[in-house]
Amino acid sequence: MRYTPGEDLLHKFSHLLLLVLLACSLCSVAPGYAADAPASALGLDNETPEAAPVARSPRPASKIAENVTVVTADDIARLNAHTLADVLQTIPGIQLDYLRTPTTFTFFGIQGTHNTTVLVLVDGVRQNDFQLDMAEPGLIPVQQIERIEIVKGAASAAWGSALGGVINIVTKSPDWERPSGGLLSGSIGRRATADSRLELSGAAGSIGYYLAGGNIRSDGLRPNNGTELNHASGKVVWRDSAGGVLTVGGAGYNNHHGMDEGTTGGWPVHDDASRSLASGSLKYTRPLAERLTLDLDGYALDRMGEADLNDRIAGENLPYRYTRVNESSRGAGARLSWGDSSRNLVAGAEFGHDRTKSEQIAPTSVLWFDRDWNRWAAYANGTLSIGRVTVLPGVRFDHTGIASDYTSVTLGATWQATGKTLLRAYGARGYGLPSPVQKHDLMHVSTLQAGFESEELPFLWIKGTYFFNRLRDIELVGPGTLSNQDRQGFEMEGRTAPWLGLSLTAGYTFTYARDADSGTRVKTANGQVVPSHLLKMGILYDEADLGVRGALTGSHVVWNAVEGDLSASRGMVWDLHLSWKVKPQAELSPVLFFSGRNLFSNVQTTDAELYVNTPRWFEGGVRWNF
Amino acid sequence: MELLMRALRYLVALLVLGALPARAADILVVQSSRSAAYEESLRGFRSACKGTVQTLVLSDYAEVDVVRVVKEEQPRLVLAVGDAALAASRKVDRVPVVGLLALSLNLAKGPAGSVGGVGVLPAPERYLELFKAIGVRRVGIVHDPARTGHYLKRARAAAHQSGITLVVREVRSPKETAARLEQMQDAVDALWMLPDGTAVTAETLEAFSRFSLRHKVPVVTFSEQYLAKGAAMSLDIDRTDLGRQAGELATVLLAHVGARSMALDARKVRLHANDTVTRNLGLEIPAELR
Repeated sequence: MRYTPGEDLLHKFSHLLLLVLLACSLCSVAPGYAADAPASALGLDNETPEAAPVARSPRPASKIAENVTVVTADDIARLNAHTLADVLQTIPGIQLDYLRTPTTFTFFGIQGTHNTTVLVLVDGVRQNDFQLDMAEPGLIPVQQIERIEIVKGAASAAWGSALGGVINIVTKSPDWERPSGGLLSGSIGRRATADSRLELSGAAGSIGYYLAGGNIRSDGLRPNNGTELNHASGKVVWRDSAGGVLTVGGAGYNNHHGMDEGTTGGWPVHDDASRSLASGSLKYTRPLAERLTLDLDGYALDRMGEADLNDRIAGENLPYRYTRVNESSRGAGARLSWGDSSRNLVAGAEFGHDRTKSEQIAPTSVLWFDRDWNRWAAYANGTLSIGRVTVLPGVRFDHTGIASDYTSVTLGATWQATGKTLLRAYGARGYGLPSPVQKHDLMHVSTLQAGFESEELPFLWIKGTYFFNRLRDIELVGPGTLSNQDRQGFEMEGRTAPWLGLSLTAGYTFTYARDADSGTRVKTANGQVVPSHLLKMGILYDEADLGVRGALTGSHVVWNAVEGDLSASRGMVWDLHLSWKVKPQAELSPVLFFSGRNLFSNVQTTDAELYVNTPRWFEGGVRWNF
Repeated sequence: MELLMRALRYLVALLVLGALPARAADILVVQSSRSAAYEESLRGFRSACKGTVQTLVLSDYAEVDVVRVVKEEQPRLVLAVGDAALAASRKVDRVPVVGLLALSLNLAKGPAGSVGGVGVLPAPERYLELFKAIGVRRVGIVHDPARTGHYLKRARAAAHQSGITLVVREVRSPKETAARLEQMQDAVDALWMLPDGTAVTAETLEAFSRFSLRHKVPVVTFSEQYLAKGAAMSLDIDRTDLGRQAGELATVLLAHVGARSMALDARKVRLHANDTVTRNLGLEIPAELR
C-alpha cells in the first residue's frame, strides 16, 4: 500500500503511539496509588481497589425474559466508536454486511433477520424510514448516547412493529452537579477521516441541559466514500415541585456522501446521496401515587433523502436518475405504570400520523408514491412473581393504518434456579410493517426463546439462548418477494471477571434457516442474509490508576452463501482501541486515544464487488473533559 | 395460540387485581463493599426506617448496571452506601437516591438531580463554633476545589456571619500542600483540615503537623485518627446516627410521593482532643464542648 507523505507520517505516528500505549499497559501490573487518606481515616478505605475483595462475578443476572444486551456510554468510549455501526459490530448475534467509511451506508442483521425488521429508537423516537422500514446505524453518532438496549427477537407486544428485534437508544441526561461542563474531542486518521465533537451539560436550580454536536468527515476510505455528517442534539430538563420531570429534546443531522462507485455487471457507476433529519420530542413523567407513575410523550420528525445516480463513462458522470424521498411523522402517547417488581402492570396508548413521498426529479419528474396514514395502538404488559418464578405477559393491539390491524402477544417467564443461575423462556407473536411501496400485507413472526444466565463457575458469567423464529410472508430486500421461513439456532455469551485489569468476552451465534414451503435450507443470496456462524471476541483492559484502557475486538461471520454469490468472509476483522488519560488522578486531564481498525485487512461483506470493507486504517485523537 | 391468548387474559386480570398491596422491597441498598463502617451505619438506618430492603454489594461483581437493576426491581428509593455505590447510582432518575458514607456527597458539589443524602461532615457552623470557643479568629484551610469546593463555599458564608476570617489556599496536587501551608505563616491562628484527598494524604500529614509545631497553631480535623499525628482536636461523626439520619430522610421520602432527596449535614459529632498538644499550645476547651 502506498501513502502520501502526510499519511506516511500519520502511519508511523500510529505505530509509535501503539507501542507506547502497549508499554504503558504492560507496566500497569505495578502497584497502584496508596489508599485515600480521608477515606481511610473515616473507616471507608476498604472500598479502594487494593482492599476490595476479588470480584466474584462479572455481572449480576437479569430477570428479563428476552435476550437483551446493554451497551453503556463507558463501553462506547472504550471502542472510540464514531457511529452506532461501530458499536453493533461488537455485539453477539449482530452481523454487519459491510463496514466502510464512517457514516456511509451499512446493512446489519440480528440473528439472521434483516435490519428492515429491527426497530431503532432514540429517546422513543423511531429512526426507521417508511419506504424500507430501515434505520441506518451509520447515521447515528454516539457521543450523546448514555445506553443502548438491544432486544434480540420479536418484541412487538411492547414496541409495535419489531419482528427482528429492537435497538433502544437512551441519550445522556444533564449533569446536575455543576452549572456547566462538557467534553471536547477530536480525532483524525487515514484519508483525513476526522471526528470532531463537543458536549455541554449542566444545571441551574431545577433546570438542566445537555447539548452535543459534531462533524464526521472523510475523503473516503473506499472509492466514492467521501462523506460529511453534521449532527446536533440536545435536551432541556425541568423538575417540578411535585416530582414531575419535563424533558424537551431535539436532534438533527445532515449527511452527504458519494455512495456507490464500482462496476455492476461491467457497468461503472458514480452515485451521490444526501440525507437529513430533524426531530423534536416532549416527555413528561410524574409519580401520581405510591407505585403509580404517569408518562406522557410526543414527537415530530421530518426526514429527507436525495440520490443522484450517474453512469460513469470515459471518466465522465452521465446523469441517470435523480430521486427524492420526503417523510414525516407526528405522534403522542400516554402510559401508566403501576406496581412493583413482584406485581406490576404497564398500560398505555399511542397515536401517530405518518407520511412518505417518493419521486423522481430528473431526467423527468415522476411521482412514484405519496401516502399518509394514521395509526394507533393500545398495550399492556406486566410482571407477576410467585416465589422464584416470575411470569411476564404482554399484549398490544396495533391499528397500523397502512396494512391490517394486528394483536401482538408475549408470555415470558424466569426461574431463579439458584442464587447464581437464572432460567428464562418466552414465546411471542409479532409483526413487521410492509413497505408502503409494496402491495402485500404485514409480515408475521412467532418466536420461542429459552435460555439461562449463570455465574456458577468462578470468575465467569455465561448466557445461553436457544431461539426458534417462525417467519411468514416476510419481505426480502433484493427480489422484493415474500417468503415463509423457520429460523432457529443458539447463542452463547461469556465474560470473565478482570484479572490484572484484563477481561475476556466472547459470543457465538449459530443460525439455521429453512424455507417452510420447500423444506430446503435458506442461504445468503441477493438481499437474503442468513449467516450460519457468527463469532465475536474481545480482550478488554482497564487500569484506572494509570489511566490506560484498551479493547481488542474481533468479528467473524460465515455467510453460508449460495455458490457464485458476491458475499465474502475472509478472516476475522480485528480492531484495536487504546486510550490513555495523561494524568489519571486529575479531573481535567486530556485523554489520548488511538484505534487500529481491521488490522489484517480482512473482508466481511455480502457484495465483494460493490461494498468491500475498508482495509487496515489507523486514527488517533484527544478528548478533554472540562 | 388460542391457549396462549387465554393464559394471557387470565394473567393480566390477575395483575390488575393483585398489583396492590405491593410486596417487593421498598429500598434497594447499593453498598460499595462489605465494610464494618457500612454495617454500623446500616444498623442506624434500619432502626429509623421500616421500609423493606434488598441489598446489592458492588464488590461482589466486576460490573453492575444499577440503572438496569432499578428498572427491574422497581424499588421506591435507592440507598447508596459508600462512594463507589453513589457513583454507580447517580444515573438513577426515576426514584430518589439517598447517599450515605460517601466522601463525594455534598463536599465537592451541591445536591443534584435525584441524588441527596447525609454527608460525612457536620455543618461548617459546628467547626466555627469550636474555633470561636477556643479563641481563634483566623483559620487556615488548604484544599482542592474539585474535592471540597462546595463545602468551602458554605464555610466562607458561615465564617463571614461569625466574624472568623478564613485564609484559603488551593492545591491541585498533594505536592503543593507543604508550600501552601508555609504561605500561611503568621497569617493564621489555627488550621482546619478537611477530608480532602488532594490536600490530606499520608505524605502531607507531616506538613500539617510540622506547621502546627513550628508556628504554635492547633490543627482541627475531622477524624480522631489524626490526633496521634499531631492534630489538636477532631469533630468525629457518629456513623450509627448518620445511618439513623439517612433512615429518617428515607422515611420522609417514602411517605411523600414525588418528594426529592436532599443533602443533609451530619448532625451528631463528638469532640476529641489530644491533651498533650492542647496543653503545649495553651488551649482551653470549654467543658460544654467536651
